[in-house]
Amino acid sequence: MNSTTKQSATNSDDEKDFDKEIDNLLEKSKTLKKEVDDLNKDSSKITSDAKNAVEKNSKSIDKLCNDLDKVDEDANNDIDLLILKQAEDLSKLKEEDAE
Amino acid sequence: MEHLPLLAEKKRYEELSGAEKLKVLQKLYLEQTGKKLMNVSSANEPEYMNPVGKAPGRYVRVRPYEGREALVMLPSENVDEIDGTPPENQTSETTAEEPSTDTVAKDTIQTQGIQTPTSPFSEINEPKPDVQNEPIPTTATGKENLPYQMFDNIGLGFNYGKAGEGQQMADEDKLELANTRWQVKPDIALTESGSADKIEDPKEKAETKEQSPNTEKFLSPEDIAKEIDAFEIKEGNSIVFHYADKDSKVKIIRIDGGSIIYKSFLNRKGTNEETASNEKSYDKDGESFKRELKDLLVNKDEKIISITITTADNSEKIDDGQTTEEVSPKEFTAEKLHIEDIANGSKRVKIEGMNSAGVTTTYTLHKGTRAGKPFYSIKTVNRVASGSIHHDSTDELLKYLNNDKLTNVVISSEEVVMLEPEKEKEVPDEPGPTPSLAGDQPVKPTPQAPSGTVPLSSLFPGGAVDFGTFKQATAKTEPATSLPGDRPVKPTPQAPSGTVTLSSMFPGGGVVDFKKEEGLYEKATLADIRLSSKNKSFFGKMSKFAQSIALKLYEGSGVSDLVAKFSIWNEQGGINAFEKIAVTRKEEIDEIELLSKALDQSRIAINSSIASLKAKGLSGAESLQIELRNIDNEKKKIETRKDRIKTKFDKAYNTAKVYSNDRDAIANRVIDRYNEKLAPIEEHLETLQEQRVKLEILTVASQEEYALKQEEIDSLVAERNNEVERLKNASKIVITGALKRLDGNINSIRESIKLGREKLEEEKVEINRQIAKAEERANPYRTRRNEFTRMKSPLIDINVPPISIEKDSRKLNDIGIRTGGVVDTSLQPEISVTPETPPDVKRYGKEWVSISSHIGGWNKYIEGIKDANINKDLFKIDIKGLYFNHPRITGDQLVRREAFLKTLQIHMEAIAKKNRGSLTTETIKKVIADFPKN
Repeated sequence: MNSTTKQSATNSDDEKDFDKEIDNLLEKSKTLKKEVDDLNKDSSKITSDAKNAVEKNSKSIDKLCNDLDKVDEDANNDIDLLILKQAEDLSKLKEEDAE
Repeated sequence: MEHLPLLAEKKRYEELSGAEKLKVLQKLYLEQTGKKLMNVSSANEPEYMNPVGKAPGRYVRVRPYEGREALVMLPSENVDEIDGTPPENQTSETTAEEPSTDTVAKDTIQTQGIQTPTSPFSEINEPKPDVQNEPIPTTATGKENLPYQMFDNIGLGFNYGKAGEGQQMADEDKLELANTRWQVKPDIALTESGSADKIEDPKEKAETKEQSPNTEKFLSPEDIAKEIDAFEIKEGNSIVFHYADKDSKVKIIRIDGGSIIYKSFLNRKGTNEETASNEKSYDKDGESFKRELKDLLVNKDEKIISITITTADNSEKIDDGQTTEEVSPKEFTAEKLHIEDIANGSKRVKIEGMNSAGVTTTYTLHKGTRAGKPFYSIKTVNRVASGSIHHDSTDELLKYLNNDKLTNVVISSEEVVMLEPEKEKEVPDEPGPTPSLAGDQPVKPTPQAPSGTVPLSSLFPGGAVDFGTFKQATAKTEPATSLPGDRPVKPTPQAPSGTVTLSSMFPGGGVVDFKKEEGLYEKATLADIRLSSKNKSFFGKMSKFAQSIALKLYEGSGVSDLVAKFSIWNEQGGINAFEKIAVTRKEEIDEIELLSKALDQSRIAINSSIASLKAKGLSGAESLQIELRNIDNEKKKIETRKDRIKTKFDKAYNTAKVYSNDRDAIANRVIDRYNEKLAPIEEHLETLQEQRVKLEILTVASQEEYALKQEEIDSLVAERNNEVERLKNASKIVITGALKRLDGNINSIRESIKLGREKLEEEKVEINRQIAKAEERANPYRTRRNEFTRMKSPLIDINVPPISIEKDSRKLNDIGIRTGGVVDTSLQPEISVTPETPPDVKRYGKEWVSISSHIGGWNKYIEGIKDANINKDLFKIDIKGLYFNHPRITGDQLVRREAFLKTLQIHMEAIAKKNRGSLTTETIKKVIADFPKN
C-alpha cells in the first residue's frame, strides 16, 4: 500500500471514527435534552404546586380576613350604640339630678 | 382704617348670609389682630361680652381651624363692607393694630394665641396658633359665592343649608362637607379705602403697627415692672396680668418655711374658666421672685392690658379703666348695683367677690329680652363653674346677691352699646349648670347652730340655675347643683336639693360648660364617627344634650377605628362618668352621715343643757326644747335626702357596671371571633411559610440540577470540539448531517436550560410575592386581636402570643429568601458559566458530591459536636425531610457544598421557627459555618 493509499485509508478511518463519535455525541445530546426537558417539567411542577398551594391558602386567608372585617363592623356598630345609649343615660341622669 | 361700604346697603351682622358673615369676620379679624383668618370651624352669634381689659361691645367668638378661639369685636354700627379682593398672607406676628376711628377699642382685641411666659407659667403655656402658616385648603366649597350658607352659631359646629333655601342639608352632603375643610378662597378679602385692588403689604402693616400710637394701650415694660415692684409678697395676695384674651394670675397661697407657695393659672376670657393651672414652691425671696416675673413679662414685651393686684386685706387696685366701686361690707343697694341703669339696659354691672365657700366669683348683671319680654340676668362665674339665671324683676337681682355672703366685693359697671335699637336683642341662653362648690369647707353643726352648714344659696343665691343649653330645661327653675370635683356640700334645710356631678362625667375635671360641649361638634362630628344608618337614626332621636355628650365621648379623633373607639371609651369617660358619679354620691352619703352624727351629738349636748338648766332651776329649757325639735326635724330631712342619694348612687353604680359589662361583652365577642378566625389564619400562614421554605429548597435543588446539566452540555461540547479539532488536524473538514444535528441539539439544550432557570426564578419571585401579600393581609388582624385584649384589660387577661411573621421574614431574608418584591440573588445558588476549557476526564468537577454524602457527612459532624447547648436532634437531617420527600431528588443526586449548605440553612431556619426559643439564627449560622469541608 503506497503512501497515498495509506493516507486515504487513514483519512477514511478518521472520518469513520469522527462520524461514530459524532453519532455518539448526538445520542448523548438527545439523552441530555430529554433530561433537561424533564428537569424543566419538574421545575414547572414545583412552582405550579407551590402556586396552587399559595393561592388556595391566600384565598382562605382573604375570606377569613373578610369575616374579621365583618366582625369589626358589627363590633363598631355595637360599641357605637353602647356609647350613644350611655350618652343618653348620662343626659337623663343629669336631668334627673337637676330636678 | 375706615369701614367703607362694600355692600349694597348696610346690614346688621345678623342679617348677613353665612358667607358674608365670614367675610366680615375675616376683615375684622385682620384689622384687630393683624392676622388673616383663613377659615373658621365655627363662629358664634354676636353676644355682649365683657372680657377684662376690653371695651364693652359685641363680640363674635370665632374658632379658626387649627387655631384657638378668638374674639372678634363687631363694629358699633351696621356692617357695611365686604369686598372680594384678597390680601396677601400676613406674615407679621404683630398683634397690635392701627387704630380704628369708628370701632370701639379694636386695638384691644387679640387672638388667644398670645405667648405666655415660659415660667412660672411654663406649665400652663398654650401653643401659639400659627394662623399665617396655615395651608390654604382647597375644597369644592372654596368659591366666592359659597354654595352653602353658614347658619347661625349652633354650638354644634356649622350647620349648612343649601344657599337660598335655608333648609338642612342631606346627611350625605353634611358628611361630605364635614370631611372637607370649609374654607374661603383668599379672593374673599377686604380692602381699605374702597380700593378693591389695594393689597396690604404685611411688612408695611407691621411697621405701621409698631409706630401705632395704639401700642400705648398695652402697658409699657416700665409700667409692668412698676406694678410687679408694687406687688407685696404676702400670703393671699395676688397679681393678675390681663391679656386681651386671658389672664395670667399669680397668687401667693402660702408662705411657709423658706418658700413661697404660689399658684398660677390661666383664665381665658369669654369662657371665664381656668384653663390650666399649676402650683409651685418658690424660694422665699421676694426680690428674685419678682425678678423672674419681670424677666418673663417685661423682657419679652408681653402685651398686657392691665394688671390687678389684690391684697389679702381685700383692698383692690384696678387699672383697667372701668368704673369700679369698692363695696364693703357686702350690703347691696339698688344704687350700688346701678339697678336703674341695668333696668333701662344702659349698663351692665359686674360684681366680683368671694363667696362663702371662699371662691372668688364674678356676677354679671344685665338686661336681656326673650320672646319680647325683658328679663334680668345674673351670670355667675367662678374658677370652677359658670351659670346664669334670669329674673323677671331687678328686685330679684338685689335679693339674689344679698343672699350670698360675699366678701372682698368690687363692683364695676360698663356702658352697654346699643347696636340694635330697633329690635331688642335676643339674649341666647346662657350656658352652664355648674355652680361652684370648690373650696367649701365642711361646717359641723353645733348646738348653737344645729343647722349650721354652708347654704347652697350662698353659692348660688336664689338657688335657680339656668341650664341654658337645654331649651326644655330653661323653662323651669332648677335647684342648685354641685360639681363632683368639689367637696360635697352638706345638705341643709335651706338647700335640701340634690347635687349634680356632671363635671365628673368628663375626666380631666373642671367645669362642664355645656355651651362648650355643644361646640364639641366642631371637633367630633357625626361624619367623623361614621355611624351606621341604624345608629345614625338612634343618634338623631337623642336629645341635643345627649348628642353633645356622645360627641364628647368621641371627641378628639375623628373616630372610625374600632380600637380607637375602645381606647376613647376607656380614656375619655364613658363608664368612668357613671363611676365618678357613683363615687361622688358615696361621698355625699358619707357627708350626710357625718352631719347626722353631728346632729346626734348636738342633740345630746342640748339634752344635757336642758337637764342642767332644769337641775339648776334655771329658765331657758323650753327654748332648747324647740332647738331639739328642730334638730329632729332636720335629721328626718337629711335621712330622707340620704335615701334619695342612695337611690341615685345605686343607679349610677349599677349603670356603670352594666355599661362596663356591655363594653367587655363586646370586646370579648370581638376577641372570641378574632381567635376563632385567627386560628385558621395562623394555620394557613404556617402552610404558606412551609410553601416558602419548600419552594426555596426545591429551587436550590433544581438550580443545582440545571448547573449539573450545564456542565454536562459543556462536557459534550468539549468532546464535540475535540473531534472536530482532530479532523481538522488531518486536513479533513467534513460537515456531516450528524454534526449539524448535534450542534442543533446543543443549542437547544443550552437555551432550554437558560429558559428553565429563568422561569424557575421568576415564578419563585411571584409565589413569594403572593405569600407576602397574604401575610400582609392577615398581620393587621393578629395585631388588632392583641389590641382588643389590651382594651378590655385588666378585666380579662388573655395571653398574647407574639406576632412572629415579620420576625420570621427577617430571618428568611437573612438567608436570602424573598419576602418582598426583590430577590436577593447574591444568595441564590450559583449558576455556572459555560467553561471555556475542556473538562477533565471526569464528567463533573470534584465539587459535585452526592446528596447522601453531604447528609452523611453532616450528620456525622453533628454527632461529633461537643457543645451541650446544641440540640443535636434538631440538626440531624435525612433526605426526605430535607427535600420534602420530593420524588425527583435522590441520594445520588449531585450538589455542590454551597448549595447544600444553603439548603441546610433554609431547612434549619424553618426548624428554628417551629421550635421557638430553642434554636437561634446565630447558632444555626455558627454550626453551619463550622461544618468542615471534606
